[in-house]
Amino acid sequence: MLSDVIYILIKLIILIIENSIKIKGGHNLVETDAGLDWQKDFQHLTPSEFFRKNKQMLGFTGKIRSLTIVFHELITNSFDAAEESGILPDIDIELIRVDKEHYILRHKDNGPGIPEDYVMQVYCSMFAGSKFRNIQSRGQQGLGCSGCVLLSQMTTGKPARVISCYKDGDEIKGVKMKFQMDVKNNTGILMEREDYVGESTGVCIELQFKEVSYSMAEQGAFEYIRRTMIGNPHAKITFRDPTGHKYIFKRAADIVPTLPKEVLPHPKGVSADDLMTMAKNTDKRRYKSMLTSSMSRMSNKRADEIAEMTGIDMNKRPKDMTFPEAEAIVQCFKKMKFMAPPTDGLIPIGSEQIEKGMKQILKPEFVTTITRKPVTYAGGVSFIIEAGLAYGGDSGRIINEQRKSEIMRFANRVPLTFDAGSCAITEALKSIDWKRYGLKDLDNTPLTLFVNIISTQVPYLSTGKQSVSPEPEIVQEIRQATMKLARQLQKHLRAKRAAKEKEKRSKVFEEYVPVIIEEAAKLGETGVPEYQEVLAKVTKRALAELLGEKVEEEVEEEELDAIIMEELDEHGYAVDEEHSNLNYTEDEDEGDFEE
Amino acid sequence: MAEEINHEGKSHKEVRKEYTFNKLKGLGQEIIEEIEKQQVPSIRVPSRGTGNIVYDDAKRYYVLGDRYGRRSLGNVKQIRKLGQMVYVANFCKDLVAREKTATIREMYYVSEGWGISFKSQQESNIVGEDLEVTLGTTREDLGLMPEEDGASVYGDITLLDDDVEINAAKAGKSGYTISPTIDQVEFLDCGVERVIAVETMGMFHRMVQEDAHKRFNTLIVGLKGQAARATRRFIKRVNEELELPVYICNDGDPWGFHIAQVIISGSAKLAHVNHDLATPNAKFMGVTASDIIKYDLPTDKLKDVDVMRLKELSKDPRYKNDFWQTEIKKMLKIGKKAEQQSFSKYGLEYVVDNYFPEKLEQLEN
Repeated sequence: MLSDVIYILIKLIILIIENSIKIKGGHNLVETDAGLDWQKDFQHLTPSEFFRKNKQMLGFTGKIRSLTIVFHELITNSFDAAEESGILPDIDIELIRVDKEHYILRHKDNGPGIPEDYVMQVYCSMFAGSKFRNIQSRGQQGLGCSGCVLLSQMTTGKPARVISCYKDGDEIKGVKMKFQMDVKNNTGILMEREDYVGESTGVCIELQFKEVSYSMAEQGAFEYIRRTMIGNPHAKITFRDPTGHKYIFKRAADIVPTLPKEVLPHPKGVSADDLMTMAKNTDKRRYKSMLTSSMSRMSNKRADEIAEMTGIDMNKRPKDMTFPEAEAIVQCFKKMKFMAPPTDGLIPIGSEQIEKGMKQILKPEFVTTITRKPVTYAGGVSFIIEAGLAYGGDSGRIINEQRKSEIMRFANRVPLTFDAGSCAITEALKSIDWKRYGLKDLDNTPLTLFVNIISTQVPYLSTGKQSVSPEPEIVQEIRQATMKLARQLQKHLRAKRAAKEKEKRSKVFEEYVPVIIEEAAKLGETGVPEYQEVLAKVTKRALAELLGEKVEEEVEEEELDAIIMEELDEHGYAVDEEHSNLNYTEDEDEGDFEE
Repeated sequence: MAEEINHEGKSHKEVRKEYTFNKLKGLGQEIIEEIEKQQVPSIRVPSRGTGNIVYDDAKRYYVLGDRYGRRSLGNVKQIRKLGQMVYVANFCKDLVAREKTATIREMYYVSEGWGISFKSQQESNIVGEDLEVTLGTTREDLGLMPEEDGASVYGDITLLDDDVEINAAKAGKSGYTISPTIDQVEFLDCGVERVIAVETMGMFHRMVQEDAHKRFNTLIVGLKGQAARATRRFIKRVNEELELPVYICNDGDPWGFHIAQVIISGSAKLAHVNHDLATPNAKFMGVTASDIIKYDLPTDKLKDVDVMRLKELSKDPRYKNDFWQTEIKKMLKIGKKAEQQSFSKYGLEYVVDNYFPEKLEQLEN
């Protein structure tokens, strides 16, 4: 999530270094005072220096958020590694409080482990690999783990400790390492190393952090784990919090998710910059073959059309592509019609799996889930919306001892924790008229709403990758999915109310009928008659009414009518035939009369 | 409590008591009979909703229409009310038998011990009314008394309240206070020819001081604003039992008009008992809009609420005759109102010396 900005910045820094001091006035990074010693000042502008001043670029803004991001990076990494090897993730996390805002984090997984030679590369090299890949991924592109190591080093100066056990042939090899990051050279400096005997594969990393804080808030690390578990029911996480309390989030599903396949990007979802990257990385020799082989739904015929429309020679070498050319081609894409993109690259969690996850974590009274069919936004990027709704039990969040509804936003299974306000998911859910589904006060309902958007290109609103752009098609899909769930909930609530009502009704009769009959006997100065049959009758009738059956009693009414009219006459007033609905006025309030 | 049914030699009070007692008993028997026939009992209660209140032109007061509500043992919503009604009926039967009365507030507290208690006073009031309207008896007959006392009466009438004989001219300057139990009071003797009811006690005392009771040979009734049920009952009884004409003199504003009108034609809310409360023969004496002009009374401007109220009244069937329509229009036209005590502009005695004689002359001839 941090990598985009970082990537650009680092590129920029490298560019600056390469070109030595060519900067003219007006640049933001370096001031252009006449007396500045460029050489000297410029050497201070190392990445580490830069990030110390601009930690927010790494996503580490705020003490709570920083720790959440660390959890996110490490957990995501472990999940990806395990899944790629077909292993069900099992993660142990321990957070130990050393002092105020000073913690030790121990994170252990059961993944395939990292071969010794690659350990420092994984944890100390930033920005490794930036090839354009159109694949549904949890959203991180390389900076993740090393960013955590950098934050640790920056705030505490302490080295990272890693134990990695991995398979070498049929053998399990293990190594225990202590190292620091060499920020200038983008590598690691090994400090200690020894062999380690492990029984199974996996990585355990220990990092220290200062200026971070552990919180139970919605943006905190604990909530992050809780939500992660709902989106990843095939995982198991054991978490020991700073107070020593051990939370075990059990696995709810035993299937390792199918790995998403890389699919070629659809022309409608490609930017000029993407196209430049493709051109740089392709092994094709001409524009035309580069285009047809790098994108889906791109035929030779289409490539010819582009040549015609843009006047660009399609036989040129891709490496020579200029940015204006790329822009022209992308403009063309926008005007052309393509088949919808293939959707086999999208792997949803699946409604059953979501249900399992929600049941496991929320222990709800009622849960319903849905996985929609793939559709596209912006004309060519396919996506799938999945939604879940849990009611009662541990659903919702407790705020001031009251359960409130909560929205859990996910993109490609990863919880989106920040920037909820502007997100398509929030917008879609807020736009639903919940009253129509019998929820009069949504905010104060014990409800958890889960929405996951699966796409090879989730349209994030900001570089923080914490909110989804409210594309009309996406908002519409989320609404459709959620309204379907809301209808299910409404059914459930109705059935529940009816059952409760039924119970209440038969209770009312059992309680009241005997006392009323006794009292009536006292009033009429008679004995108490046998009333069991009448009691059975009324209970049965009430049930019929409840089921919406019409109870006939019209005949009875006619008879009684006559009797009462007679009595009234006897007492001095007859009933007027006419009905005038006059608007009478009176000082006193009229008593409420139920008919 | 089965008393011998023998109408001979029984007082008004005793007849009413017996009648009410049997009505209540009959309600219980009706329910039990249904049970014995293995049918689900239900009681039909005339509706007191707005749509069922009808102005009866012949009777000249509001009556209930022919719509009914239901209290069935077989309906989960109605069973509570039916039960409460039976309890209230038993409570009232006991009151009637012991010749006691209770306020509805007292009944509300007594109900705490019942199998089905009331959730609020409002609920108990409604059930009380249900019983009234179902049996066609007044609340007073059932022994349920309103909290408030009625009006003050001054003049030569002798009443028997329990064992006490009271002459309303010898009960002090404030006269006899009409008790909520007015139906249990017997009229023993009466030496007056008419009744004049006035809105305020100020006017009441002015009249007493000026010997109006002697000069007009009248009973003076101080209504104290909107007339209580007991007051209306009293006025009806003196009008019908003693055949005394009744005149009402109130402030010259829509509120004064309506105080008179409720005495004359009854209220919509109490449509079910208007036959016991309304006095259609009573006459409105003033202060009319014409009086305001004729006597050039000190006035206040009509406020917006007054104007609104006057317009409402003009549409009410109780005001549909020419007299009222003219007076309402006149008041709206002059845009002014006057209190009955504003006659003191011409001296304290003026109202008794001049206004009443002139008005009585008009009304009685």
